[in-house]
Order: sequence, then structure tokens, then C-alpha cells
Amino acid sequence: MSYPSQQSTPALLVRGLSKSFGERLAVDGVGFRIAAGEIYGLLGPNGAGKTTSISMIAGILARDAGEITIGGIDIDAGAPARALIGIVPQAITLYLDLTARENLDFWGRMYDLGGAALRDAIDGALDAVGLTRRADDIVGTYSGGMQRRLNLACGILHRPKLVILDEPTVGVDPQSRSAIFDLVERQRDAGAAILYTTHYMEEAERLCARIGIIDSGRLIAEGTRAELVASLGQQARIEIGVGRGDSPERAERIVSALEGVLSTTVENSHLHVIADHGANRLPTMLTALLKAGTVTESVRVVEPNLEDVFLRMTGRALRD
Amino acid sequence: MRHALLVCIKDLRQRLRDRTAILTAIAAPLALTALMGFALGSSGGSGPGMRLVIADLDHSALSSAFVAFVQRPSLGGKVKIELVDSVDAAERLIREHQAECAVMMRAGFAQSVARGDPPPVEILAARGEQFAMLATRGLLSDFVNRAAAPPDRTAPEVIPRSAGGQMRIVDFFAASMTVLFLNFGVLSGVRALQAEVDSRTIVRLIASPTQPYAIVAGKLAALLLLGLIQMGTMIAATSILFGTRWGNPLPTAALMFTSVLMSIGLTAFLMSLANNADQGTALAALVITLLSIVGGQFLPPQGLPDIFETLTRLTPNGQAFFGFIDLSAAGSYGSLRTVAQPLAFTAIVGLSGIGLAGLRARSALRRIT
Repeated sequence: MSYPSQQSTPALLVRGLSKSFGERLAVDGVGFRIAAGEIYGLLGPNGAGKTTSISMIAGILARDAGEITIGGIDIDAGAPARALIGIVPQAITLYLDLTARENLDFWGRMYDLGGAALRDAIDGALDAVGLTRRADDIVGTYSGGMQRRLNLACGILHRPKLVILDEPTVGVDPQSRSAIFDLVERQRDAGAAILYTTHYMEEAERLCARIGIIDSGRLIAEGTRAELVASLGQQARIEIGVGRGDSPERAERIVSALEGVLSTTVENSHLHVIADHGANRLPTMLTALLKAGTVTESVRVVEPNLEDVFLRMTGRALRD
Repeated sequence: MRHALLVCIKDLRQRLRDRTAILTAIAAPLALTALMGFALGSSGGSGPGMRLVIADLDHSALSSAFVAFVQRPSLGGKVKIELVDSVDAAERLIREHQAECAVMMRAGFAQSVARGDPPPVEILAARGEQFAMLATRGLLSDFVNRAAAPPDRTAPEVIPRSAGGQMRIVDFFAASMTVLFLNFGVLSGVRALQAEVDSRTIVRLIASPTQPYAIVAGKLAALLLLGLIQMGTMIAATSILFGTRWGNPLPTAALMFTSVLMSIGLTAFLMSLANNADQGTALAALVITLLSIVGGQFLPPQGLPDIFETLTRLTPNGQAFFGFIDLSAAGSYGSLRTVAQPLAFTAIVGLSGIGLAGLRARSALRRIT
């Protein structure tokens, strides 16, 4: 399959990116590219290396090895490359004792905006995140969701070619989450490349054209959602609910020993099983559990998703 | 340069919006100066006169002139002089509290003054007579400055600022509170800098198309300006409200600058030792308070055991504080030479502290990115 990024200068090109902290290899040879107008999701659990990777891409953290270019400009060029990036860190990086307008004004000027262009950009950003009426209030008086939205507005004010969003929806209310999604999609439609890190599978599935799955510092899979799910082949996920008096862990031991069972996890008292030709294996599983005296209360064959891809590739759940 | 200016303006805006910081920087020291000055002013230091022992071991014309200088009519006979011929005799009179202060001019006094070297003079004060000590130092400093001045220069008459030839307590506290609260004022600015690290806004700054030196320069400029504004306001306010005279403007301005530098270096280094702004503020406040006690800002070390005098001179705030006292005493004759030691000491402490804090900040930034 051919992607737009492979046909012209990508908005972001990352090759062989590596970083160690002492003995610990935090990022190990990560590489990917993002085209203009594309949302690329970096999906992985906490501690997988997402934030370290984007810190290097944004030029905040020195890398040990690898190549990063933004719109064809090497990140080591410094200010010219960083001017093309808009970063939205995971933490709320706002001056809480200034107003929203003062925050935007400061960040706009730091990216060399000024005059009418800056005023227009500020008004546009405030409108986009729904904070026009509260623009002159001190940010410290905002709710968490409003601060999150302003955090995003500060990152896109200067209309960057590459927007890096590091888990932008952590701890926000559904209304703010929806507003953030809309804003991200508008940035994409305006031609910006988006690098979106998350450990929420649903967000990656909803927003991202392509997804890179990262674990233990390595990019272990990459593709569209359909491609990643297709990589599971005939595998299916089966959810088995066991009786109240039975231990799901015991059920896991029984099922994992059966032929064709590829991985098992226990979550919320349910046993999750990935198996080749899952539906065909179901009778064997249920018989084995019955023979062991385990009561099966519910059974569900689930269409595979990114969670299953991650589970299959790492043997762990995404939120472990 | 433009980015440094933007950072500086932003920081100034944040600090000036912080009412607590303004209260700490200006209102509190003024109130304390007034309170301490007026409360203690009636009970100590402004008695009918001062008994001064002079041991002239130099036996030169210049050392003899010092006696005449102290007895000049403009002092109104408020300084009672007793001449003795040995250090032992002077020390005995002080020990027995028959005089508040003693000046011992050693052999070579006149030659040292002529060469422009620090003269071999010792001042001894009786226990609890710290203000007499300050007044005597002022008189001696004034005399030496006049003696070392070019012959064509007309020396104006310097009259001590209160009856009895002693420094007023309110003037002492004006200088001490200015230096003490400078540290607390700067601390609130440095705390905000640490808070920028804690809240990760520094990450966004580093990611912007600016050079790291511009960020550092902008933040240092803001801290310097705030410190200078604070000291300038204190000096102006105490001059107007209490009639305090701070001395020659040029060396006073130079000492203001290095004192602010010292304060930034000291507080930034202390803050860099902590894990977060709250912890750093607590640590810095503790150290500032201890340094202020040792540095003689609550009680001058004269009259206390000698070790306190030495300790005072080893503290950067003590150096700054006594530098201002010396300049005040020297009046219009105060020069950069008068405060050469405090200038050098505070500048070195300031630059070292900023350098060390910078090194530690680099490690902290590596952690947060």
C-alpha cells in the first residue's frame, strides 16, 4: 500500500530514533513518517516510550541516535525546524496567573506572530476552543477541561505544519474531549500533520488514519486500523464470564493450556481469550471449563480491535 | 534578544500581579523598619552622648587630628573623649563599661592612609553598644576619606544624624530590612521560575523557536529588574519617610546591583537543591533567616563575641548590609573603593550561585523531558 507520505516530502520523518537513560533503553530504533493532512497515532501503554519519542521529535530532548526531519528540515537546525512544530504537552503547560488571551499572546509572540495576524490568530483560537467569553479571565479560575482546551489552543495558534499532541484528553470531561477531537480534525483538514499519542484505543481508532503501536520503546506494528486488525488473521477474541464462586484465574489456567489458544488475560472478572478460529474453539473451551467444575455465566465472541492486536503482540493488555 | 524581552515582560507581568509578593517586597520591610525603629529608638542608642576611648599608638599628626575631628564644634560636644596610651587600657575601659566604644590607631596609621591602604585601626565596643560602634565606624571612615581626599577638594561638614553622634536605629533597620526582604522578594521570583519547571511550561518554552540562552537571559533580567525596583523603592521610601541617607548614589547603585545578583544566586542555588517549588521555598526561607541572624540584620555583631563579627563578614547578606552602612556613614565621600569588598563578595556569590543553579537546572530539565 502506498501512503501520501511516501510520495512527497513528509511533514515528519523519523528514522532509527533511540534514547537510553543509563542502562535503560527507553526508545529503540523507532521510525515512521507522517504526511501533511494525516493523523498518525502512537498507541502504547504508559511507559512505552511515547513521551520520550515526541520529546526528541520536538527538539526538547537530545537523542542518542536517529534522524528527524520536519518538512524536510533537520530538527538539529534548531529554531527554523521548531517553528514548524506545535506541541501540546500532556501536562497543562499554561501560566495560571495570566488570562487566556495573555497566554495566547505570549505564545504567539514566541512563535514570531505579531500585529493583526496575532490578534486574528488569538481570536480564532479562542473561538475554536470555545473560550471567547472567558478570554480575559485568569486561567487559574478555569475548569480542568477548559484548561486542556486552552493548552491545545496554545499549541496550534501559529498554524504549525506538525502538531504533536501528547495524550491531550487525559482527565477531561466528555464535552471537552469532543471539542478536542473536533479541533484536531480541523487541523488535519487545514493540512497539518498530526502526531497523536494515546493509550486510549478508542481515540486512536476514531481519529488516526494510521497507527503505530509502541511497546518497551519499540515500534512493534504500524498500519491502518484495518491492516492491524487483519494481521490477526483468523484470530478472534472470546470473553468468558465465570460464576461468582469461581476464580477467573483458575479458568485462565485451564483455557490457556488448550490447543489454538494464543493468549489469555483476566480483566474485570472476565477471561479474555485470543484463539485461532476462535468460534470453532469455543466448544472445546466450554467443555474443559465444565469438566473442571467452573461455571460459565456468559460467552461473547468479539470482533478484534487494536487492543487485541496489542495483546497478541505483547501478551499484555494496553492498560497494563 | 526579542524572545528574551518577551520572557522578561511576561515574568514581570506575573510577578507584579502577585500581591503577596509586593507585600513581601515593599510593605512588610517598610512597616518593620518603622516599627523596630520607633519602638527601639527611644530605648537605645540615642542617649545624651557617647564616651569614646582613643588609643593613639601611631603618634602622628594625622592620628592626633582624629581627636580634633571628633571634638569639632559641629558635633556639639556630644562625644566625650578619653585618651589612653595602650590597648590594654582601652580594653579595660570598655570591659568595665566606662566607655561605649574605643578606637585603637596602631603604628603606621598615617602612612597607610597616605598610601591609600586600609589603615591599622581597631574599634572595640562595649556589650550592647552596637549603634555606638556603627557611629564610631562612620566617624572614622569619614575622617579617613577626608584625609585621603585630594587637597583641593572642599570637604563638607558631616554631621552624625542624631544627637549624641550615633547612628539612628531607624537607619540601621532601613538598611537591614532592605537587604533581608530583598532576599525574600527575589525568592518569590525564583520560586516562580521553579514553578515553571514544576508545571512543565518550561518544556513548551524550550520547544519554541528560541535559543535557551534567550530564556535564561529573559528570566534573569526580570529577576534583576524586580530586585532593583524593590531596593530602589525601599531606598526612596525610607529616605522620604524616615529621612534615611543612603550615601553616594553611584556606589550605592553598584552595591544594589551586586546585592540583587547575590540574592538571585543564593536563592536560585537553594531552590535548585529541592525537588519542587514548595520544598525549595521552605529551604531558602530557612537559610535566608539564618543568614540574616548571622549577618547582623536583626542585631549587629558588635558587642557580641568576636566570632560573630567574623561570621557576619562571611555571609553575603552581611557583606551587602554593612556595605550600605559604610556608604551611609561615608556620605558624599563614599566611593566604589569604600565598598570594594562587599561589591566583589556579593558579585562572586551571585554569579557562583547562578552558575551552580544553572548546572543543576540542566539535570532537572533532563528529568522532566
